[in-house]
Amino acid sequence: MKIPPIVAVVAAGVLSSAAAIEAHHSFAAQYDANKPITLRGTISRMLWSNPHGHLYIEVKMPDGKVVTWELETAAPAGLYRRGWRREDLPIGAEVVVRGYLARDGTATANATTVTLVATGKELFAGSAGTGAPEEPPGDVR
Amino acid sequence: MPRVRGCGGASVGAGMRRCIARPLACSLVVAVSAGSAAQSPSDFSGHWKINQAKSSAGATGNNAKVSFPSELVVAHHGSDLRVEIRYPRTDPIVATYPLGGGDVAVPVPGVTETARAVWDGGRLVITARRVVSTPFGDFVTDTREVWSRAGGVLTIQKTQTSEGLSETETGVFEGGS
Repeated sequence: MKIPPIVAVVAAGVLSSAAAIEAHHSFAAQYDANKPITLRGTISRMLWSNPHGHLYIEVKMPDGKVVTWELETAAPAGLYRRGWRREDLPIGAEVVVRGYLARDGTATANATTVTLVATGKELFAGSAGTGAPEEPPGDVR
Repeated sequence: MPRVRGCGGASVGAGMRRCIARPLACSLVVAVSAGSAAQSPSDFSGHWKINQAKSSAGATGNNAKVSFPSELVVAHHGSDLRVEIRYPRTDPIVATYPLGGGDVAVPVPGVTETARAVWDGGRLVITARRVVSTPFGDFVTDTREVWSRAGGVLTIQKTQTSEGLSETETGVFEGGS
């Protein structure tokens, strides 16, 4: 059966919107503001994706096992406004990340700050879920 | 040449210095004691709302490094201090601190938190340890809050330490009783 082009375009739009809605979740739905965590590890990957970026770091846990943590950040445009640059996050760089633990029990968190150990540079991840009061109007994420 | 005697018969020199130094030291002790006595414990009772503009940059908003509540409802009950801590995205937490010291469990859902409140002159110091347990191990965050009140302003200096990283921010709350 041949699908008219207009139907295909509309269907694609609906499907992509649905995917975006699913991906752009509220903080409270996925993360717990009562559970702050601080992780020290090395960068293995940075995904500059929308609607959220994702930083992956290798963390040696107290039991000696190395766990890959996925840390959600603001969108790339928001990170850029906050001073993030690709060259700031080289693979293997040691970082300390503050954030809030995911509700689903996985090694996932919503990052609030990323501190580069070598330079001391601190990057704000633009988390919406610091537990602190909202940002003033006009200061968009 | 006869030596000139100072008070108490001490010769000028070391004796005179002692003669002057003792009353001076006594005066300082009295002054310091009077200052301490003036720093009696403050009354933190009331409904307090954070003023973001007056708080430090890392205390509120999406760039917060140390998170502060949006509101506090504080009441003194005898020797206890009851604090309702309201965050914008979570249910309120009520902590009751015995002001004579002693650890209390703070009922934060999903975590283990132990805290202690003590007076430091007119200021209140609340220290707490929050343990977040995960399948990958425990995460420990220590906080130290120093509360001080001046009229209708409650200032809380909060230091948060975890994984060797320590940050201090200041939250300014307005209101009170």
